[in-house]
Amino acid sequence: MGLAYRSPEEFWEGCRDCLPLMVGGIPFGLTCGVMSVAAGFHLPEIILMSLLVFSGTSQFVMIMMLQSGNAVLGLVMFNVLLVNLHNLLLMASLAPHLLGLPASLRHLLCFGISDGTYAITMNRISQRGYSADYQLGSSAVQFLFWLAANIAGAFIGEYISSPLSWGLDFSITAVFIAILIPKLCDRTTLVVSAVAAVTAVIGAVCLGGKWYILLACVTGTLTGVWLEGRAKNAD
Amino acid sequence: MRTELVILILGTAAAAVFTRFVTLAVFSVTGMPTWLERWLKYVPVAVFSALIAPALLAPQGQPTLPHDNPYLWAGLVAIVLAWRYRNFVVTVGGGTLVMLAWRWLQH
Repeated sequence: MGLAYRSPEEFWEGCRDCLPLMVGGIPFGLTCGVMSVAAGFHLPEIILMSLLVFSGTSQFVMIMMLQSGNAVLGLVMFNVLLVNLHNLLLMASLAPHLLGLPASLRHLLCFGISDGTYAITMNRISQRGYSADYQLGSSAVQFLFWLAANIAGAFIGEYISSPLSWGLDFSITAVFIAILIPKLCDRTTLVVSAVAAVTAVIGAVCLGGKWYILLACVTGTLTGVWLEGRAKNAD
Repeated sequence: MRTELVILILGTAAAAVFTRFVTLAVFSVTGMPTWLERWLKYVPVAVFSALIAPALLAPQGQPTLPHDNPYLWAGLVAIVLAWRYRNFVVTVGGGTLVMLAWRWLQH
């Protein structure tokens, strides 16, 4: 692969900044491994799934459907597509930075995107600008930890209850809070945040699944554009 | 490996990976529409709010009362810490400690 490997420092910086996310990511990956075994997957299949899918939510959806006997291929794919739709928005928001990159690097960054990588990459952009190496480092760490946690979960599945019951999944939310709060700098962003939060809670409770992220994203961003347009007209 | 499970894994991977590639695949041909950039400015705030709020108020997909919901209290502590200190480690560490302390006290 013709990867121009330009800045090892920024790559390692991305790796390091990702570590707080792993406090929550590891229990999530362990749980996914434990549940895969419970659903009847063997270790090589779990490794293949972890390597190719690299998405906790998608793997959970597939495992749940397999366990409940609804694992028709088309239906599984449709549901996985739905729970991942918000990726379209994440990628669109990163697009201005990614479009100028060499294709091989761009494809690697696309494959490696996750909510966590998006979070710390956006954080880095707001502080010191975009760095492809930084994003790559973050994806690499998440990819390796995810694989390792899935495999470990497959081994310890028989001995432990769900690691998520420790509540460590909260630390992922805490990372998102640490990134969101400094962004709430004026009235418009506060309103956007409130609209998205309320929509998301209502959507999560009433719709189920992960639809609420996309729904909240659309209502929140439309509110922001509307408020901005109204402020301009008032001038 | 069993064929039917491998096919299921490949299908899941295809659907998940498609959503990560399709946006850039389209934009690299058409270019990035300018109206979109104005709109996308608010995506990070909206996405993070959408991820955080249900995780605190309805952690198991159901609205949970405050006395039975450590996620809410740990989240409020994290929000105050983030507001006051603007520091990653303080926010994540403080919030996670509240969470673990709650679980520990329950046992």
